[in-house]
Amino acid sequence: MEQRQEYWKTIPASYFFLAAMGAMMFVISAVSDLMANQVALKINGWVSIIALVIAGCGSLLLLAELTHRSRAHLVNARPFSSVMSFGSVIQTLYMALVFIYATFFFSFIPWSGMIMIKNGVAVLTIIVALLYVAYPGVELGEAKGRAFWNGGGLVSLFLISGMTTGSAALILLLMLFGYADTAYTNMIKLFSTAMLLLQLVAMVGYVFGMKVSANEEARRGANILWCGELKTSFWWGIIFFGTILPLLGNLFMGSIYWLVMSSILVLVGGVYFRIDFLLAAVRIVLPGEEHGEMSRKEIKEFAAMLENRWQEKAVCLGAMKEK
Amino acid sequence: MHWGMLIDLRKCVGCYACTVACQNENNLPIDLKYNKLKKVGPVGEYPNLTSYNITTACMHCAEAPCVEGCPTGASYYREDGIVAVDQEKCVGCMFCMIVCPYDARHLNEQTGVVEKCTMCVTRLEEGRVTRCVETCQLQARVVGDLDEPDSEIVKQIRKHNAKPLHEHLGTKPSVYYIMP
Repeated sequence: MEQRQEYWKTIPASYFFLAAMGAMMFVISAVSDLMANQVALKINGWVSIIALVIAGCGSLLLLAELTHRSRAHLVNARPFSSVMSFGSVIQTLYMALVFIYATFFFSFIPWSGMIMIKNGVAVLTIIVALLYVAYPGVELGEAKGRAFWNGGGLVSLFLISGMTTGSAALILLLMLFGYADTAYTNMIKLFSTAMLLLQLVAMVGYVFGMKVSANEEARRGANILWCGELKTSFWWGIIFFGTILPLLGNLFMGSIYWLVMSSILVLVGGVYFRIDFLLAAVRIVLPGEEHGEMSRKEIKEFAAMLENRWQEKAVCLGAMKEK
Repeated sequence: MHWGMLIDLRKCVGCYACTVACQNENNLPIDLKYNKLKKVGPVGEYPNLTSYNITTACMHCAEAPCVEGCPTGASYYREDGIVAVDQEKCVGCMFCMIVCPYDARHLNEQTGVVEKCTMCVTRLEEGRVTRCVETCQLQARVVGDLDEPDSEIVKQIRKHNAKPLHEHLGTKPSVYYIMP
């Protein structure tokens, strides 16, 4: 009876992960820029372009998930009619704004020195980016029959996970750009550590809250993660390798290699989080479903088997008639 | 005008006639069923045990999560209360399948669009009853106007205190059940 959510799997989960990671990486770097951080001033142009590429990859994944890709434009045709179309509009807006923001950092562009306008664009993009990270939580909350997603904390959880993965991605970029040993990198590391601690409490708290919830579907969903089919990826993938180990690494290991390792682990944990939380939301049980039934694949196989048997019989009967 | 259906589970013997008739009417492949039959029970405690059959399909909810969540407007409410799918607008994102608490929607792998019970809307427009109602030998199903206080369906719902499935979800289904 413990059927996991079976329609959205790794592709939408990867999209949610990329969207949150890229957007939160942008938010952190844009806030740093607003605070006039010198390193942020130097790298934010490229950070924004990378955030844009990440969002682009995410949207390509979404496109790949559709069965009718040629009709994808219809999702934007009714902008605020559903959470998903709102998300699509927000994604488009976010990508456009991130690109505009990035242009302020390249000296060959005429408006690159206009600080006030750049700061205005940064504030607007930060707001849109936060909406972009949060909307999947609201979207999943629409599933009334899947109580595991109906918790008020899901949006916060998406934001917190976005912050941990976003800061991890930013740390990796700082390493790549040669700013491994700066005060800015240390500041992001501290922020990441705080977010990991928050993630640990929020993640375990959310699942435990659902586990003791009055709603049966919420309990069943939580049990899949807590002690069921997905317990290994929840406890080891998300909690231990994705949160506790990087947290300890950030707290007690000073080396750059550990920081890189921690950041990679946080990203892997972030992917596990999106996949596991998508799959764990079981649907409300309908009467009679406790007995289980043949899946569509099994019915097809059974029907093909019967058809073959009938054909064999027909051939056999035909041969007997001839004799 | 609001089309609705009443299913009397005391009469249903689980013969699958409605399921097969629906597949026939909608020309569905063998593995795709809009109208699913399930055996329930035995439920209760000895000696008060009961077992019954139940058919579930789209409940044509008045506040349908599938319609509210559809990004393209492919799922929509008709004026007569039927929840319909515009096949030309469906992008196959499957979000409606995720949010439907009744597992009433199915992706047709041949066409790539999501399909479900249409409440035989063409037949209703022609003044005929739905195929499942027509087929049911035990007359366990009634289709009619829920907005008409004197209609047979409304009388039966009142008389037997019929309820929709999972009413607490607040989707306001248009399919009612008389429980055994």
